[in-house]
Amino acid sequence: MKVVVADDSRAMRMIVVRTLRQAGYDGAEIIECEDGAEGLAKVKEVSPDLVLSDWNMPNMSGIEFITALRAEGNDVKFGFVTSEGSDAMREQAAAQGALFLIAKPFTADMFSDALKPVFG
Amino acid sequence: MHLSSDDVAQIVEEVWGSMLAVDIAPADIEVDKGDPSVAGSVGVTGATDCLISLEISESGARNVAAAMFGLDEADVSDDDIADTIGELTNMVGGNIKSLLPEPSTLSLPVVASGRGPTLRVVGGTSLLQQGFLSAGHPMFVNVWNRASTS
Repeated sequence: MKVVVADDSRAMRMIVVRTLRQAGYDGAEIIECEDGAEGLAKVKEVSPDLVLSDWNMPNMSGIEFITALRAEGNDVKFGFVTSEGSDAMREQAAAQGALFLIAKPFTADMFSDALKPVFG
Repeated sequence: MHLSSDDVAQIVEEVWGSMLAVDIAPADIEVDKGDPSVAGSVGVTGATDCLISLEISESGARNVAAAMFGLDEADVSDDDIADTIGELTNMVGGNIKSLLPEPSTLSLPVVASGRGPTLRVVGGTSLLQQGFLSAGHPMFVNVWNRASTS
């Protein structure tokens, strides 16, 4: 399982990866990116099974990232891990085909609940 | 608009508990003027115009950065501190934003260091200031209203 993790905070990327492993996906191969633009390039390069992306990032935000992917016909599984989860953002994410939006702070159980229906 | 100290305390305690595993509790403390401090801030614009800041003593910032990265405090770099305080401010600010009038947009965090109180919003009015002790280190969450008409 290949996972692209996009977040401008190195600390948060580390915590997302650690939580992913705690949620049972300890064998996942992780590709870290600092923003949506780098994430977009990496998705094209490595064809991951999943993208976990922050929303609020410099250069290209998370919603711009998934919108660019879908515009190119790429339907990679995509979930947001972000510090705010308003109804408007959840609707915007779902409209682009995002599987879930996990609001920070989060727990391994929240990752497990979001990922189990998709990856088992 | 009304922000409750209890709501803000709950947000801060959740962030500290789940992201850092560091003890934190609200505390009735005063800003220790002139103490080396680190402040993170995020702006909220839209239906509300606020600045949310999180200011913590330099030793407290080093302590939470060490917890965030799983390092000894002696091994924590300035970049580790800036990243940690920026992300903690982003999480606390993003959750406080959900208590404010919508629709609004959250800015990226900005982190500054100086001597406390590091950050004062010129012309702004304080909506809330709540003190905390983070593993015994003083920390303050401030919410400023920047709108001159409200």
